[in-house]
Amino acid sequence: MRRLWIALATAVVLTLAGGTAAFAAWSRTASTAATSLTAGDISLSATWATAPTLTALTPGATRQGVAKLTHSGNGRWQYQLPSSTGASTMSGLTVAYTTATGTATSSCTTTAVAADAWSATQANGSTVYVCVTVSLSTTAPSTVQSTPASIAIVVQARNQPTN
Amino acid sequence: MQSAAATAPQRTARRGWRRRARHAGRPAAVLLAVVAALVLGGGGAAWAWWTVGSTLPTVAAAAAAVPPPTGTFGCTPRSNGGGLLAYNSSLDLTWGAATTTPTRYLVHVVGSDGTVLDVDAGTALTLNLVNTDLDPSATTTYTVTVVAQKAYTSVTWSSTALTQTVKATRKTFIIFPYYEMSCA
Repeated sequence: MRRLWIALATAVVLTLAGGTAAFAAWSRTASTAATSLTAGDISLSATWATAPTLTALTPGATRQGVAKLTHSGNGRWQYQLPSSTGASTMSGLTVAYTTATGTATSSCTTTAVAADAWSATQANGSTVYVCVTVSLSTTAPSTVQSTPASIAIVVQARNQPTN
Repeated sequence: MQSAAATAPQRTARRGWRRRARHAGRPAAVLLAVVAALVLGGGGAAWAWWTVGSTLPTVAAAAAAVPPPTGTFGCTPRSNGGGLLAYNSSLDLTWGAATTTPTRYLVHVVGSDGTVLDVDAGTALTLNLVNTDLDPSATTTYTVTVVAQKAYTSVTWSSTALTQTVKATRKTFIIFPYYEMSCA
């Protein structure tokens, strides 16, 4: 009886082992062609298409210039103009932005461009013109006479996905 | 075959197994939550913002200034033409025109006797002080300034000032007092 149990156990083991051994794992490998990965880039050129003349400002004076912003790099982009420009060193001096359709101040529109806010998405490699208006308040005090200021506008640009 | 009532060591072992299982599952749950947050976040964390800045060339700004009266005060005592009783009873002050025509010249007089006088000289370049109602009761020294003013829509700007000191000296002819003006 014992031999019978041993034989039976052996058969079970062999069956299980054989079943495992009877299963073969098939695998195959394939390789793709070598591909290089390169990070994208973004750069912005900010220049004056028409620089404003800001000398001898009197109360109520308004002067304009046109800034030219050109993108290069990958993907689409947005731009942002600052509210802080250095104008505050002269009491009553302010800077505002509107859109422009060309390089001359005659192309300035009345459509405001909000400061400290990202613009709508622009096409890759595109150029945008922005009208910069500098004004001295009509109530600027007499103490402002001969006061100097330096207007420095730092334009920010950021990337956007291509789709 | 175990008895229905587990032994104390067995109960301890089971509780320990459950505790270990809870602790093992905790990091996995945290990881799953993070992945879910990233996915539900619309994949925003998966998009990197590149930002660059470029500065427009700096533009210098300067406010205008009202040009002041030019040169120095002319100070000319004027005789009353009374012969033996002639004396310099008045005094003319003159000044040069500002380089751009102001709205007006404003004359301000402060006397040692407390006199304060403001005269809108318009665009005139000469002022006779006695004719402006100075009335010295004693020898008095006056400080006279003149500025050019430019009026804008809502404000008026004033230039720097020219300054002159004049004196009215009390004198007596017999019993009659009179004053002689002079440039101090």
